[in-house]
Amino acid sequence: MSKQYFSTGQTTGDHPTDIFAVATTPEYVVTVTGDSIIRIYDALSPDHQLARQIHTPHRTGIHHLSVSKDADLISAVGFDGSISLWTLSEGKEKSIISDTAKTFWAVAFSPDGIYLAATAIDGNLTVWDVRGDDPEVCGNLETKGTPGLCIDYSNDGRYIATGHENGGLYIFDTETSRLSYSLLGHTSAVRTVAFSPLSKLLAAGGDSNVVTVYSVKSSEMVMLLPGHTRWIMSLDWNFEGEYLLTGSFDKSLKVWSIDQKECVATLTDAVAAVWNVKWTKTGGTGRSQGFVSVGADKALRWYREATGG
Amino acid sequence: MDLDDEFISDSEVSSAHLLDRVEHLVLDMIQHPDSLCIRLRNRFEKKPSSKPKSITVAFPGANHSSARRFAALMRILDIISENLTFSKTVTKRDIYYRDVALFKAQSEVDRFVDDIAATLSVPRRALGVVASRKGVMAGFFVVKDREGKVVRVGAGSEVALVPEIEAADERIGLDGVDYVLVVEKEAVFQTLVSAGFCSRPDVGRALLITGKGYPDISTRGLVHLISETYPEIPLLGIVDSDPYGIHILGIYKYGSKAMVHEASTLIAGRLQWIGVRLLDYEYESAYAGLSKRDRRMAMNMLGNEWMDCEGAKEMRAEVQRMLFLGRKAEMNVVGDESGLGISEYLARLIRSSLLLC
Repeated sequence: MSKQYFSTGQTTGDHPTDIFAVATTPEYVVTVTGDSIIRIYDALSPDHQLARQIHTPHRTGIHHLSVSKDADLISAVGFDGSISLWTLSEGKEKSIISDTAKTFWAVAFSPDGIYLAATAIDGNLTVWDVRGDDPEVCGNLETKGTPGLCIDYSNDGRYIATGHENGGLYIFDTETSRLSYSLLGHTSAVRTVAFSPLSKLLAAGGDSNVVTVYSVKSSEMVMLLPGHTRWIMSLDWNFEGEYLLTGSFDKSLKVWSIDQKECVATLTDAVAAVWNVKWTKTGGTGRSQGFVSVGADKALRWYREATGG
Repeated sequence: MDLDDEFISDSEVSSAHLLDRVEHLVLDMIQHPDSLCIRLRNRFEKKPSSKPKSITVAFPGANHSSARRFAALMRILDIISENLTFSKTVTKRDIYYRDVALFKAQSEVDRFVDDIAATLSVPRRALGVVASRKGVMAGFFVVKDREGKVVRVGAGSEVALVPEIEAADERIGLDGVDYVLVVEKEAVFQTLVSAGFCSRPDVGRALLITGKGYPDISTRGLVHLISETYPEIPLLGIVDSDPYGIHILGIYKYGSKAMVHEASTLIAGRLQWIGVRLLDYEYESAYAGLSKRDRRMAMNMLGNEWMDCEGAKEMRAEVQRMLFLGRKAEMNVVGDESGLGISEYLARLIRSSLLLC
């Protein structure tokens, strides 16, 4: 059975270049682009107003982002290889993490916002405790040395997954600080990973153009979802874990039903490659579910599920 | 594949090693800081009977002129190490022009470069230094001399060396040319010229220019002159989808750091980057991963001042995309797999660029 989603608008003209990443909270949608500004939109207002902007020192642009509502933090990674931390509510600078020997790449907060985990171009994973004024390194894990392109922290806080340029896909156990699994299935770049809301499944996508879903417990692949014709750049689970949303270099978005193991909706509004997609986190607010997409066409697109039909 | 490309890929292997040896020349010297001295093999003495002779350049020396000679040699070693680091190629004339005040004469530069090559026992080209003008052009143009006498007429498919505008005081006439296209690589230039691209009725009459990678002074001088003298003729640039391609376009458009004193006569502000855009390759095998060097180059370039210019906005976004995707591509493989190829791709791109100009 297919699902219907309709566009509820697009925000254009705010972003000077590609929008490289988007993050969502129940109230906000946050974007980063080729300039040094973090833009925070009001997700609840009907016209999605720009609520705030944070001017960061990443003058060469920003490409990755993670937001923690609980810890009231935004973390942004710049093309300069450094990470900056800001308060979500007021846009105040908290700290800058930079290491001249490292180029940090993708970031994810732990669900409680106490920890921040980041991949780097050297392939390694670093975890900080970000409660204090200065982030404290509390973990350093090595992989086989190809760039870590994506990262996710499981909702139960137990696992961190990273995807790599050479197809490497790893699950780390945060309790033992050890590598739990090296997952098979990708032989080319893994550009996106995401744990399901109950932390039981891990979805991954990238240059093989297919979505793979693994059981976190057994590390076995339980699902293979072909359909995109080019690289999968981003994926995200909906609030209940019933659907996966993907965005691709092929300019399309797809919604996949986990029950039916198939694509239930394809959206082709973007006029260039899609870089990042996220479900809006308005579950429980009485609103129907929706999502946002960003990419090379500089637009932030908003969608909502058609209900009552 | 043209010779220059072959040369570049060969030197890729050994340039790190060569760089090491160049650095050692200097490192060995500074072991004795009170009397700095470099011994070079003199390339003129090559008779098999005699042992190779050498010349010594030392500091401090007997007089002012020997101090200048020492400084000149250090500057040339510096330029060579830059060539090796960034896979650049310069002409002997380029080196001279970088610091006319320091190098007393072109002949001194020539001699030092050849002596350094002899000392390291490598061909001069391996140091990224070539003897003569590199740039070539084809299409519709007229070259006149100082008196206005026509010395050469382009006929569409003949390839000519770029004129020596500065030295020989030549002039170029571009009557009836619809656009000028600067092509980074000679191989693509050749493909386009032999496909009759200069006179395609669906695109227009063209002058095609290539500096064969990093352009030399004459090529930059020509593109500058066109940018200034023919403001009505669209001036377009097409480069590889990699950090070096963007950097090369930046050199034509904004000048190189090394040549600040010459910038006003060498930059072509009107030159417009049109591609090949990284997102235009229609199949995945066209892409290659960024090397560590590519990444460093791209990150450094994003920090350069010229990248903040309004006219560089698209190029800056393109460098960000390369880093974001970790991918690059060579322009000659653009076009879908059905074999449309770069000619058709470019025809489409130029038609839409001309409409916007």
